[in-house]
Parts: sequence; C-alpha cells; structure tokens
Amino acid sequence: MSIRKDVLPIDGEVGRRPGGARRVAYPHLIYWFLFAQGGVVAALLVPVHVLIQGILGPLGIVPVVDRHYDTWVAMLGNPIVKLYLLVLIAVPFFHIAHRVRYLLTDFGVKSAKSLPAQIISYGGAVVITLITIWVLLTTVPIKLG
Amino acid sequence: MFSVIVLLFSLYHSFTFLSLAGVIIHVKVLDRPVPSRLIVLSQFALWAVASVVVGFVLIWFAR
Repeated sequence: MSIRKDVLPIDGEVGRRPGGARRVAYPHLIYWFLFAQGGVVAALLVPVHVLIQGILGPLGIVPVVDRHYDTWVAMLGNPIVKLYLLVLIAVPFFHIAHRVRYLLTDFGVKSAKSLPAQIISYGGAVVITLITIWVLLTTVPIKLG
Repeated sequence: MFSVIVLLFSLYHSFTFLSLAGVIIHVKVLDRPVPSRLIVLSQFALWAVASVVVGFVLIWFAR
C-alpha cells in the first residue's frame, strides 16, 4: 500500500506492527464513515425539520404532522419513520463527536486524541443512539400495513 | 427564538459542508474528471430535493 506524502500522518493513533509496517486504522475507517454520513444527514435533512417543525408549525403558518397526537401517532407507528428518525437523530451525533474531538485537537488539546477522549465522544454518541432506539421502540407500537 | 438560532447554525453547516463536496468528491465520467463546481451544484440540488420531499411529508400527513 503506497502512502501519499501529501496526506498528513495521524500521529499517535495509528500504530505500527512489530515489523515496522503501518497498521490499518480500522477505528478511523469507522469514525470517518460515521462522521461523513452524519455530516450529510445533518446538512441535507436537519434544516427543513427545524424550519417546518420548529418555526412554521408552531407559528401556525403550516399544518405539521407532529402538532396533533393522532397524526403523529399514525406516523410514528410506521417502521420506516422510526428508522428514519433513528438515522436523523443518532448519526449526526457521531459527526459531532468526531468534529468536537478534532476541534479540540486543532486547539492543541493533546488529550483529545487519547483513548478516554475517544470513549467519551464516540461512546456518548453510542449512548444517544441506544436511548433513541429505546424511545422509538417504547413510545408507539410498530404497525405494519 | 431557539429554533431560529438552530436553523441559522444548521444552514451554516449545510452550506459549508455541501460546498466542501467539490473538494472531497472526485468522480470520473468517460475517463474525464467531473468539475468540482458541478459536484457542488448537484449536492445543493440534492439538498433542495430532500428538503421539498421531507417538507411535503411533514405537511401532507398532518391532514
């Protein structure tokens, strides 16, 4: 595997095998994948939700599905909606976790690259994901058809 | 008021993130690289389509 010289090394996080060969950074693969996906989800989907459900709906300018119990329950019973909400809520937190950790790294906080920092940031996102799953599964029963 | 602030920050994220797509994504069509401006435009078009679809669902199913 060739290593491009213009790509900065990931200091301290990518170790070497005993023979000196670079180790594949599998955690980074997962972090960056979730970071990118979270960024895309947050960029494409969050603004319209905030605009309609946070501003236009409460002001009474447009009717919104979550303003009334019956329409919201009918919507939330759909498994595709539950899956959509899980992605919409949980994935951007992995983006935030990665972004904040590297923001702190850029500010010179060396401990932001440590294992505890990774556990706190990504672990926090995992906890939020689990809470989201729990809330989605315990609020409205899934209705098929 | 809180939602207005959140909207401003989310729009800022959308604009900066999608603008960077031209730097990050490198695609070749018929062995020729797609211009970064076209990639950015496609990202913003995707954003518009996604917003319209989500907005339509949120409003339509409120009836």
